[in-house]
Amino acid sequence: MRKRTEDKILAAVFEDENLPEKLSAAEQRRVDEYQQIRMTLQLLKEVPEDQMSKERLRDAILNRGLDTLPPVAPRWRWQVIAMPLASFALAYLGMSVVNSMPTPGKGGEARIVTAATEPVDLLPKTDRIVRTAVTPEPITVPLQRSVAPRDTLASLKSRTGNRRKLAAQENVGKVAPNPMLLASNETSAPINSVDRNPSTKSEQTGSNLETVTLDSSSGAMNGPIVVIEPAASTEEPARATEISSGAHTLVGG
Amino acid sequence: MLAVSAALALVFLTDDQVPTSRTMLREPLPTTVIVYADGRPVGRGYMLDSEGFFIVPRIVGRPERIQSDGTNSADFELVKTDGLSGLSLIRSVKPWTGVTAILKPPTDRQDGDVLRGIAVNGTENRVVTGEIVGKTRAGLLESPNRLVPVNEIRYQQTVNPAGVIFMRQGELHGLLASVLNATVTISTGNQIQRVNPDSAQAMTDSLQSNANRLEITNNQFQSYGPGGLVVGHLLGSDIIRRVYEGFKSPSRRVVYPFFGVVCRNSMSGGAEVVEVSPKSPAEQAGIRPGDVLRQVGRFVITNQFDYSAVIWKFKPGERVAVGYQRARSRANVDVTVGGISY
Repeated sequence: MRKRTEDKILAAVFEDENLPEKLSAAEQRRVDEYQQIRMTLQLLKEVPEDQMSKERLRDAILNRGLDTLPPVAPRWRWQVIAMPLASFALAYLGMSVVNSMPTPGKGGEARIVTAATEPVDLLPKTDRIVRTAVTPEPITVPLQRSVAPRDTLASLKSRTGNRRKLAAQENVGKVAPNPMLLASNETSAPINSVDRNPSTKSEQTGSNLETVTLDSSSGAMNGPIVVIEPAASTEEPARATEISSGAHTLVGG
Repeated sequence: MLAVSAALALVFLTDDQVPTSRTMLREPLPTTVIVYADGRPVGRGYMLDSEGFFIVPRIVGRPERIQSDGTNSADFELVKTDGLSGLSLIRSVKPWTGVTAILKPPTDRQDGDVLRGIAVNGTENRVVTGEIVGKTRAGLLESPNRLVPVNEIRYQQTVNPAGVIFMRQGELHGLLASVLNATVTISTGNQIQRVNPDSAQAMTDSLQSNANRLEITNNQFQSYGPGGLVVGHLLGSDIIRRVYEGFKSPSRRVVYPFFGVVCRNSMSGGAEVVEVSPKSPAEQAGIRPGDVLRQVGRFVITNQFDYSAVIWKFKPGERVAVGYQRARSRANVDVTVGGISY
């Protein structure tokens, strides 16, 4: 198809010009094809209003300008005052309800006992074994009332009557005899509690237990432990190494 | 606007935050001395009272003399050394006159507190300034094998910090207990590892034998931030307060609470006693190796560290109920906390 005829066909289809008088079969197919394209284009929908495009925005600004919003209706201004008042009223009502509830130490009501803080594993475990142990030099060695193994065994004996187990435990008690301690225990040391069931710990210890934290002056100890080695000399400071687990670490005190 | 800014700056800048070395040096210098031993300066002492007592870092070597920044100079004698804190008490052999002691016991420390100390570099004073970044750390002293509260401090490594006693407005805040261990950076190709120096050598030998490309950077201390801050540890203010009060007491002894057991973690929970010191309060109370401590006072013991931390809550002479488990039995016993000096 020559270019001149092609231009005429395009002009006829898209610009509503007159078609050439004589068309070959190939030219007629081309005309039909272009007319189909035009019809399809005309069937395309407009861009929805909620799809903002740059072109649409530009046209809107250029054509309509930036219209100012209408002012707030005067009838809504009362909310500015009413909302804080309503908040105060609700707060006052809430406080009144709270104050009317029974509180510890008021009117002979039962005291509210707060539970102990949740147990926290203060210090992580380490795999490091610290073997250094300085033999301490005790300053005061007060004689203490303590649990006498014999008393403990006697209590067990009365409960169980298991002579073989008792004989074995009595032998354990004889491994490190301390006459002075035993004498003291026998005269003045009561057994506070002996229980063969380890699960009854809470019954023994009561509800006032605390987890271990140091004083506020020292702070609770958190984070990985730093193992502080003795300084090799006065020329340089001691070295510390962080460890993340202390399962096998020995500590004293 | 400028006037308002200046006023705000005056309001919010405390003495600790004024970043001038002159301000930092002005306060502690009149009551401090340089300590000489074995013919060389080994540290700086801080005047404890008007009787000529000074608190100094642990003295190693033959004591010789103390020298103030003025004209005062005198021989001194070593009175006591506290093995736990690493602080020593010395006394001038002649009256130390003309200076009033300003040393005070430490107050509670907070994160962000700025402390300063003076390092002796020859006879020159160098200010070391550090900031507490973590007051709730735990330090395990390998000798004497006790868990103590420590404060993590970051400071600029301008001088060797050994023997620096940190102060704050006349308060003794203690000796720098340790510096976080050095790390070695090993780079092999695209892999970078930071390892402990102890294990670095074996690792590098292995890598060298494999003919890998190896780059090793030795950092003397682990450093943080653009200024290369070094991480160190101060003993907790509770420990330092005990040292201060002990050195000021008539006996000049520092006494720490002591039960007399060495514990390990118990698989069933609690602290298992592995050793009981002879004649200790624990032995007097009948506690034996194998017992598992479950409760001390009103505190639940879940592992050996709980036990070691709890001891600091009591004073020597105080009676404490200790709950323990022996075999399948549980028992409570009253223990009077003992005292120990290191």
